[in-house]
Amino acid sequence: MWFQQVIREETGCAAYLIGSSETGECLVFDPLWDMEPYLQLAARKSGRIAHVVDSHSHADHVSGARRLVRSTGARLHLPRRIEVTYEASRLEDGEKLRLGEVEMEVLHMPGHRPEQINLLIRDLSRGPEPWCLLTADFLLVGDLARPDLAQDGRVGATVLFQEAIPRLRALPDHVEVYPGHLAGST
Amino acid sequence: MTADQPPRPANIQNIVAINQGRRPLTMDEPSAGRRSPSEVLDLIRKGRRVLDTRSPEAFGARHIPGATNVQLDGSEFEQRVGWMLSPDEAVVLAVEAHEAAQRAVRKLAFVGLDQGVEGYVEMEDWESAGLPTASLSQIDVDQLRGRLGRDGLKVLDVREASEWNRGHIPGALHLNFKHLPTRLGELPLGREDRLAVICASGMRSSTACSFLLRNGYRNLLNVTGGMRAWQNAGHPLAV
Repeated sequence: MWFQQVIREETGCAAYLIGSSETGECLVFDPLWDMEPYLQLAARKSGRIAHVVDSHSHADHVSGARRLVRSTGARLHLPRRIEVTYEASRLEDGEKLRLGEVEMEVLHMPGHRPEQINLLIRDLSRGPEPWCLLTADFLLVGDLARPDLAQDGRVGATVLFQEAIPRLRALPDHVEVYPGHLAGST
Repeated sequence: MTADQPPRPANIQNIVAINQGRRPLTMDEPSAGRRSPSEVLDLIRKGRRVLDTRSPEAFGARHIPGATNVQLDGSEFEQRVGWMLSPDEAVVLAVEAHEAAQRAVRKLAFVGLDQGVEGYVEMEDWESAGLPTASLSQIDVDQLRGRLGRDGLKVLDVREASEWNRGHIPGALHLNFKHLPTRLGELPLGREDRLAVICASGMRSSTACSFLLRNGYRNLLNVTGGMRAWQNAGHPLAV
């Protein structure tokens, strides 16, 4: 499995490229508007971007997902509850995406936005235990995401604490956490 | 639980609308075309805003009257611009050279503000054409210290509440620069007041000054070096 965090320092945003070393298929999670970093990374591994996922409707940056899909012919996946005007396949809670030895399980983590999803990643060539969680804007460095941007803050905070956090706590302690922001943004 | 959250970013409705497909996404690389000074003068008369992306020093020396200053090469350009521009507003960039304009419009694409850009003007062209310029006086922290309490000078600190709470100039007023467009009226300030504006380093304060100038404030001083220099110099702090 290939795993690469792609940071844009100016805005503190983190996107991810995950690929199968068996099949060369790659998935890009939460790409920014500029798609060059992902195209270059995939090319360096002789991989092919086959899937693009947006974890939620971002409010701090323009998603590059549709640009990347146009450029690569990849399939666009969005959370089931997201509201968009364009076509995409929808990801259900508990659904699994498979790229060769890499398995990615969709976890619905509401609170920041109602549709927010995370991906729980397993490298089945190493074992069946999850290896890391892409938390997007649900869980940040030393903080939880803002629950008050897309909805009333109390409503957001309630589902964040009642639904999302118990799911996080149920994961094994060794699971690594990779957030969607590092610093300098919401 | 959420009362202590930082302000809600002004540009988020626009970005969400783009991401949801309700507003157009910039699919191809954007670019800004060079405009002659007379074209830009014409656009300004039609209500276009000038976004000056040069340094506070350059802006302070000479700028197009009414321009908004957010430094391209400073930190958080994309976020800061979002507090000053409306997503529906057409803008002309004021830059040193072509390359800066292209970098600016590309950075604006990350936050969905590129589509309003109607080109750029090089400041050298503007000055050579003999068109009017304005200036913004700059003072350093030692000069500010010497002038505190004289001539009715007021100090406005435009940093985040968290920065303000860690220490500020005694007697200063506080309003986060992000709130200027919506909450300026809450400050006990008149347009004729002598006002020194300070942030951490001198960048956000220059943005704040540009907003105040655009809104008719006349006696402004931008404090270079900001609160970092103030503290390093050992000047008094209130908490």
